[in-house]
Amino acid sequence: MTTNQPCTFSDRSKAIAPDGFTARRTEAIDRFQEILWPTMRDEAWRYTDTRPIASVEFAAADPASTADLESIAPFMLDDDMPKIVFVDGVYQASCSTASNMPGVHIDRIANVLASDPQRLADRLSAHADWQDDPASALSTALLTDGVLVEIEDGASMREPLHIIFVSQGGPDPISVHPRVLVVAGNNAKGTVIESHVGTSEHTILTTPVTELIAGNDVRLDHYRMVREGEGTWHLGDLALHQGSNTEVSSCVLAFDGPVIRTRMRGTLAGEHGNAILHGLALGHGKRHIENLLRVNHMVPNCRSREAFKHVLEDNATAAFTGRIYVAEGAQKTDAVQTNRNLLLSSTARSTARPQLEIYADDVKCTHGATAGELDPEAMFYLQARGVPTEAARSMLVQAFAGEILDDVAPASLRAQAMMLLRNRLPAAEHLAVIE
Amino acid sequence: MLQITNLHASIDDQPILRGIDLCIKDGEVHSLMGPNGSGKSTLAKVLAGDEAYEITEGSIVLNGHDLLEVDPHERAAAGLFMAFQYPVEIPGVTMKYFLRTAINSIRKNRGQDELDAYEFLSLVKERAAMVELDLDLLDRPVNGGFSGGEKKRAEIFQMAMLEPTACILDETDSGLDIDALKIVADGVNKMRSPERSFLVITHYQRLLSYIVPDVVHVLVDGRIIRTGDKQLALELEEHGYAWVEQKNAVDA
Repeated sequence: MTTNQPCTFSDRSKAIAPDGFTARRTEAIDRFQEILWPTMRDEAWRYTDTRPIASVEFAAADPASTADLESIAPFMLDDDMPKIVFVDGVYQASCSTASNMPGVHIDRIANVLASDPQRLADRLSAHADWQDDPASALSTALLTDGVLVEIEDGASMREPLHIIFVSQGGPDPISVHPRVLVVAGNNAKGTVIESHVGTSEHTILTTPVTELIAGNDVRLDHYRMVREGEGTWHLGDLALHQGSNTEVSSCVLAFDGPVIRTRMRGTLAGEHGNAILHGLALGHGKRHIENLLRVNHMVPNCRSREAFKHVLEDNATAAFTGRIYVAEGAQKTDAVQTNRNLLLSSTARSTARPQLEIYADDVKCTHGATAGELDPEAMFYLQARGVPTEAARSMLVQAFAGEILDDVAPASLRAQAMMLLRNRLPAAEHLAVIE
Repeated sequence: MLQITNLHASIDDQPILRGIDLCIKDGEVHSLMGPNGSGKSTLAKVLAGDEAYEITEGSIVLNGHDLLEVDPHERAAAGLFMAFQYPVEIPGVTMKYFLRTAINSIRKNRGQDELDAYEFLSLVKERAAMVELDLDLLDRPVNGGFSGGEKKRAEIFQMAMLEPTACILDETDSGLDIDALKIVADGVNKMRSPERSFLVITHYQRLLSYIVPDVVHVLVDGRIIRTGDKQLALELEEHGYAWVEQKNAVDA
């Protein structure tokens, strides 16, 4: 790193060449400077201690960052699934294969900002509520690239799109700000999978922000697989905005990384919308997982389902906050929220905060949170049938996680997640291979 | 041969079994009857290795293996099988996955080759037919949403799959209607062989009309107070457990 390169977030934001997004960047960096990294006295940050990153000067990534295909091969799904790869935020033409599908436009945000910024107006950063969150504000202030997926009215993505963000870093700490915007027109259908991956131990801050905007009669499925390296702080943000008769799902699989915090916000703005937010997190060592959710029921007759499961070992910690907001007049709202924690050691910790904010009187909102160990009766039953103790434990962990993984529709992603889970469980050699 | 000698067991410092002596030779079917709370199910769970119970005295030896020295899964590998009175539901684990893991763990432990997918499925089909078990149940979670009869049939099916040498049936007749009872009893009878021994635990004589025992024991208050042939079960049905106790007092 040469000394004349901008190092503070503010300098970095100001150094970005002017384009159609400059005004928003300026607003966002100003906002970030106002709020900075909150302390744990801040309600939204009570469970994630930002002190380890607050004093770090994060540089921008080397614009020539590359990764070889071999090193990212383990993170791939189907060979023929269209993919777009970024390394430390830098687009990798050599391993990206995605191109437009009929009725589906897949573009780099950098190109759209340069050529036709109007396509992003009122969309990019319109739903992510970056004003409330330093990571999201920072992502907006430093936004230069990412992926825009636009599905035309009546069009369907014929196959899922896989976007891979590799966190690689170097000797100096860097921050990267991955960005995805999916805009689905009326009667559109599609699936987008993100993988946030890395194998390096370098210090990296990544603040991925994804916005899913659905018109009417839309079916959209989104997955975010997180397998970061040991030095990567992952502070993510997801925003869903749904029109009427829509079903939009987002599932976060937090498998690897020292700190994985995900903020998810679903807004049901048209009647008969269905928002499905799922998450599975695996924590061991001193890992920390936080899922911070908010579902806004703005209109009547919508449904939301939140199901988050955390498997915690050693000294791992997990926090779940889920707010269900039901606006005045949003009658017949049907909202269900669950957070289940499986504690595999006496030193693992979990916290759950369900929050209901309801301004309508004819609604059905339920929440449930549990923290517990493996069921001793089930353990005995399996063991009595000849399954060794460790394998029985592993089988019950698989069963616990299965409730989330069974709903992962893309087969290659589901298989990858199941295999990752199986391989980290003890006595995997005893477990029958799932066919 | 299953040899139980002077077995004492307690839970939360409360003695339940107070000196059980029982020897079941290969090929024999013994029945253990007794009133509620006499310790019948405790004996079944202690044999299988439930850690909730503390063994304070005695021994359990199966074909030369000291079962009290080993974990439940090793007892299964040694040839013990206990059909649960209340089979546990395990959401998220399919019957097929569970059973394939179980059978191959046992085979590995016994030094046998693991079954491949084809061999496993062939065996499943053959053994499921023995108890008229619907094969669709195998793709469901373990005991998940099974009816009472399906659960008991699934237990006997698992027994047939795992081919144990000592089978403990803990009130397998409870909650079964007469048709299901016959199917379960038929399954058990098909498994009777000179190398296999059974301990059929039941509250009622009814099951013993279908699975005819060689020896009948009466358990009261943690002790076997009387042993006889199948005639004893019929007398019990007629006169009740109090009768045995009175008779014992008179004999003494």
